[in-house]
Amino acid sequence: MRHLLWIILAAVLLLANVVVAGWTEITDLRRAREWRVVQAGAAGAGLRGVHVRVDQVWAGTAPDLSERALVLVRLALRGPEPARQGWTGCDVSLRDAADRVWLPLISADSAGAVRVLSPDGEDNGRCNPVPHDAPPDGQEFLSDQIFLVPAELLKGARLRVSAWGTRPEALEFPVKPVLRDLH
Amino acid sequence: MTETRRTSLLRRLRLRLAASVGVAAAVLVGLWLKVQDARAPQEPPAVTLGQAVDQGRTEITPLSLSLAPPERAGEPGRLLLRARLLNLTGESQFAVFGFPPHPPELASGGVVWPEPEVTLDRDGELLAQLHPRLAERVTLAWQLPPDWQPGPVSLTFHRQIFKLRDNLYGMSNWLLFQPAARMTIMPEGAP
Amino acid sequence: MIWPGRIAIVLAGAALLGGMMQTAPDYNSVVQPFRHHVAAGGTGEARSFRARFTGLRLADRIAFRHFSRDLVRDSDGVFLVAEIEAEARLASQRLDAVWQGASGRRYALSRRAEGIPRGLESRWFQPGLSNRAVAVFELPEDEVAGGALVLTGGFIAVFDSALYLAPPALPERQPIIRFEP
Repeated sequence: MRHLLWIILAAVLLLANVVVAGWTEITDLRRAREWRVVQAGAAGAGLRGVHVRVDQVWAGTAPDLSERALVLVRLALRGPEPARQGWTGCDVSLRDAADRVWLPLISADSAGAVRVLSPDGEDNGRCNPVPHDAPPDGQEFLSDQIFLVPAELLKGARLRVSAWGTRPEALEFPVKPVLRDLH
Repeated sequence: MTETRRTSLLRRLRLRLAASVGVAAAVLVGLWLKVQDARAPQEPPAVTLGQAVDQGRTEITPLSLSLAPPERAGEPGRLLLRARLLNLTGESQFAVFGFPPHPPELASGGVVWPEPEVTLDRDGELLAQLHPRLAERVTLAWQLPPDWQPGPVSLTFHRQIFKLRDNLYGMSNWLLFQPAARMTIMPEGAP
Repeated sequence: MIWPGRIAIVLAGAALLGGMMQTAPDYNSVVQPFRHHVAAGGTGEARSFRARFTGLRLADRIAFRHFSRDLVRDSDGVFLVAEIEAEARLASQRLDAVWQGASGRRYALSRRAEGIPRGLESRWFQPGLSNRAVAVFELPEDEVAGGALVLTGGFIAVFDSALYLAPPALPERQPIIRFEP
């Protein structure tokens, strides 16, 4: 009987050790994964005090490379400053039905591609919730991210938005790009 | 009754005493070895130009040490060590002088100079990596301190220790640095 | 007569422990990528990408333009230019390449070729889109025949797949290869 008590105590201590040692790993994993995804509509949705809306989605294809397309997603964010601070490290990705993930292009010429694809020729920069020229609280500001995707994604895709401070929660929007003729 | 108790107590005491003496002796011997090491600082072997020195990941062969004019006007003059570097490992090395980098240490009158800039002679650009079996000529350039008087300088080369199984995970690892060789030399071109 | 039994148990334990210590693989051989060997011309399927070794060229020198400077690189060995075609399977990603030479030595992508057009180190591969890239290595010529191009998804591919792509037929050594944008 006395032995059994010791064995139980050892098992409990071992479990406590694993939990303590694994805690940082678990929190790191939660910060990296999007486990709770909230579906949002065209009106946008709020998450952790910040309202996110998909402003416009344009797409363009080159005639000689018709199997690939460039997709420009313009996001509109608004929220009070402290809430936006929690949104730093904002991540945007496009997904298809099979859950394949496309990340925004960050090459040297992606800014040029944004200017070509947006009708107003503007590039608002990639999603940054705390820009140095932030408008007053409650007013929307824009960001542009460009993706290189297969043309079949133009029929419809899902846009997922999350940030360091929101994960494991994320927002998801259905997107249907407007095909622009670039000639 | 008391007789047997006393003998067993004596026996246990003797055992503990023996163990304590053994531990104390081990500690004292270890301490004495450390003291010996500190009493007689080991001077690394002296080398001369043209002699190869094993630095762990790479082997360096110093070829010449000379004074050179500044690279751009307004900058101090330079001291150039031309050398041949060979990768001794089985993979391309980015940390040619170990990590954290320990390039040859140049000292003059007991003062250690800041780290040199290492350029690949072939391109004239900073040395980025060294591939196995491809020896390269490089130049190590030190900027002369403003108050420096031409005279002999000492160059100390360091070797990083490699362990195939380290004590933590049993993985291969690059660990401590130790001085591998020293060279005392008069730079060419000094008056 | 309890001693022989006890001694036998201790000896057996020591032998068992010694055997385990001798045969246990060390950290470096346990923590490795999963290798997939791909024959010349074949398409390799890794966990997160698929790739094909499409072309191989050898040159004494390479020439390219980087930051509006014309650069020519020469070598004591040879420049190996590997052309690959790859596609991501799960998410947009980059690839890292190493040339494993005939002697087993591993040659990393040459930093002296950084900035070449379509260079692998600056290339992103998207799911569903096949993309071409060029990997340049600098190595002694006798490491080329019998070597393999090792492709991994990222610099550290521990417990992920690594493709070992056999090279296509070896070409003649060219005096110089110019990379045009």
